[in-house]
Amino acid sequence: MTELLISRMQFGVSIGIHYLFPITTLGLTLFIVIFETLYLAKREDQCRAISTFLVKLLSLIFVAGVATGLLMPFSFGANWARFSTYAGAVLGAIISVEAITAFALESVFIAILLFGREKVSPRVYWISAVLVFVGAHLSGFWIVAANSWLQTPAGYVIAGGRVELANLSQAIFNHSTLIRFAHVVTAAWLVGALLTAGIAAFYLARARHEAFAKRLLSMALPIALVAALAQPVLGHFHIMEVLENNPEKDAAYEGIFKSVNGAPLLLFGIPDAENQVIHFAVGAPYVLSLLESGELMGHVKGLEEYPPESWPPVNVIFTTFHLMIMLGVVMIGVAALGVFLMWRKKLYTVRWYLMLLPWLIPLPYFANELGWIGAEIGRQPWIIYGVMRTSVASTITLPLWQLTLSFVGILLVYTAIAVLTFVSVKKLVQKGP
Amino acid sequence: MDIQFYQNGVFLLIILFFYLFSVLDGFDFGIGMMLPFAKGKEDSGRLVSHIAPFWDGNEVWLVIGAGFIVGAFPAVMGLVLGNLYLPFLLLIVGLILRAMALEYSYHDLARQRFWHLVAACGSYLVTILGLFFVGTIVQGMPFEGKGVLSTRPGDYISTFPILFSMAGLMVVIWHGMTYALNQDPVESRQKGAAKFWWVLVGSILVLLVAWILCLPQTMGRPLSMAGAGFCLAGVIGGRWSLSRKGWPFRFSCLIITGLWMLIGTSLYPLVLPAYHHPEWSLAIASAAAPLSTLKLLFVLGWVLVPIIIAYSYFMYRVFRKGN
Repeated sequence: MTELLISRMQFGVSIGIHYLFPITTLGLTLFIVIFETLYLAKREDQCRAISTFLVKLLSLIFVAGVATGLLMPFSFGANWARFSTYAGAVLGAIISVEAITAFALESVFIAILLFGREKVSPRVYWISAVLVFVGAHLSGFWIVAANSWLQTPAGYVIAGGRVELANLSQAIFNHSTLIRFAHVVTAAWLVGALLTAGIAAFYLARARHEAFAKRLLSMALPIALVAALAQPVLGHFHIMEVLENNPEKDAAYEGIFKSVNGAPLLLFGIPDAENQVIHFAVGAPYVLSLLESGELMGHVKGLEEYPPESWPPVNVIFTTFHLMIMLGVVMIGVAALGVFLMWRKKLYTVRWYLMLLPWLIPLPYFANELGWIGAEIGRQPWIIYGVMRTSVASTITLPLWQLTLSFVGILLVYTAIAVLTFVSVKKLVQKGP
Repeated sequence: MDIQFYQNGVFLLIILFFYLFSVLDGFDFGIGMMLPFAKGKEDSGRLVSHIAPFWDGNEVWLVIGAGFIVGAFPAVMGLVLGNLYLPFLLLIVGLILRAMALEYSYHDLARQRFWHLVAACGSYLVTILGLFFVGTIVQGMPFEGKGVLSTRPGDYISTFPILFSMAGLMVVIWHGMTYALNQDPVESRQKGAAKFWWVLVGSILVLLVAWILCLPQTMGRPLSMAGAGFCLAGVIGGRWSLSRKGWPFRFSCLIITGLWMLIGTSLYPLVLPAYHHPEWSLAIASAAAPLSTLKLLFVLGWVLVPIIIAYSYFMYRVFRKGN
């Protein structure tokens, strides 16, 4: 059991740290494409300066993403041999599609962005920026598709004691892929928007690079608002999908132990799975029933309807889910205030707001991580929902001492990469464009 | 088309991916390993500038290869990496060090020397361990039953993988040297390569002799004879063309082509041979995924590989005069 726990911790730590970089890449490439397009269309030098600066940030982020991501495809074999032997025919196929259609595209064309400004025409440079954007997002799509297949497996049959791909498009576009991809991509854009807004505000508050920063901030805040407002809408459709396909996970998210008519939407609470109760619960009465069934007194199934051995760890996922939502509300407020100030033409004079923005850069990162912790812990005890349990997925030949050593090593190396990247990005921002 | 066609076609694709990885990222590792011996800061900076736009795209072939192995031969990666777990992690650490250090060597100029040394350490780790893995698989794994490998670390240390790793290391360094010569044909580099050529000769001879002695069964096949011939021709051609721009690198590619022909024919029709106990070997036919996955990977690979090569070629054209 300890061996399994260490393999899970290693996967969680490595993918949790890795994830910080690809979402930043998605967010930054969005802004790079926007400013390159403006530059190509209007030849505005300010746009080119902004894009050049963002490309410098991207180069630090991208390499950290590559470095921390190399372990992932191999770790399916190394730490999860029984899982990859059982499900490789589907999972390996999807990660192969990812590498060959998306990762190759972004890795090759990013060289033009980093080193090719003077070597190619503005048009080819723009095309390269678009291809890196497309490659990065396509890569995200395949990874979300692979993960969604674990949440809501489809398009497979079980034959000869293992999974066999029966229908590729059903496997890729399984019940949760599209909605989860939309949720993840807009969340990544929110990361990019609040990151660039924070950087621009940092300059404005210190009266540095003002023209540059105003142009960037006036682009970032509206995008932040749209992306932040999209989250509750997409989140709602996602949770409806979870309700349909992983009902016990949904009950745990919402903290409903007993089946009830007219369930409240809990906004806050301290979950206590052992006693099947949410302490200090604060909720909006009837709203959960209304959201899930369209009727105030609609029936909501509680966890009691499912055998306890198939419950996900309720305390963890109730908490992460609600923290994510709270952060989402804060980010909507922050972005809305910014857009309001922009509309009233007061944005650049409200100093406290400009001073605050850089400190909010971590918020979307936390929200992203919390969302994924909820999604992945919420899938437990399954590694493939309803098909394979996590407890029978790990490699059996790995001794405890090797796993411990590798976990500590990975933890140290990944933390070092995260710290180095953070410090270097901070230095680059302080130095200025 | 029957299932065997797709099994072999995907096996060939995986060999092709690792071959492309060796030829392309091989010169990046070779350059990385030359860094500690560069003459001063300017020289090492020039060496890194030769590979800066390319190494990331070249590394993709490794990731594609890994994905295809999980998809096409689902049990193989678990057997190999689950039993050589710590060397595998060390290899990953090497890849991580190389990637981070190359980026920071042109970002953090104040500590450039330090980052060059880290990039070199990473390159040595990956090359030595990666070749050790290939050598181990080619020779055969210490199976103790059907699908069961020995858990004693001592069983994984034997002559052929060690010789393969050491000789291959020299080939990779030579590959980097000829690539640098291609970019920057100065006399000092030519002189250095002329001296190192003798190491290359020794390494290839040791490797071929070890192959004949340790794995005699593979040498009778026409493809492996051709592979050995390519190796020798590449070595001789490299020396002969040393002062002609571009040619030593092409001959170096020929050596690596020959080596992968030898590797491929040594393995086929197995995917994981068993050392001492051929009856426990894992054959392509028995380890392969079901037909639906193989068909997908087959089409995906053979359609997209030419496209990736085409746009990578465009990239090499853009940066052909360094950056």
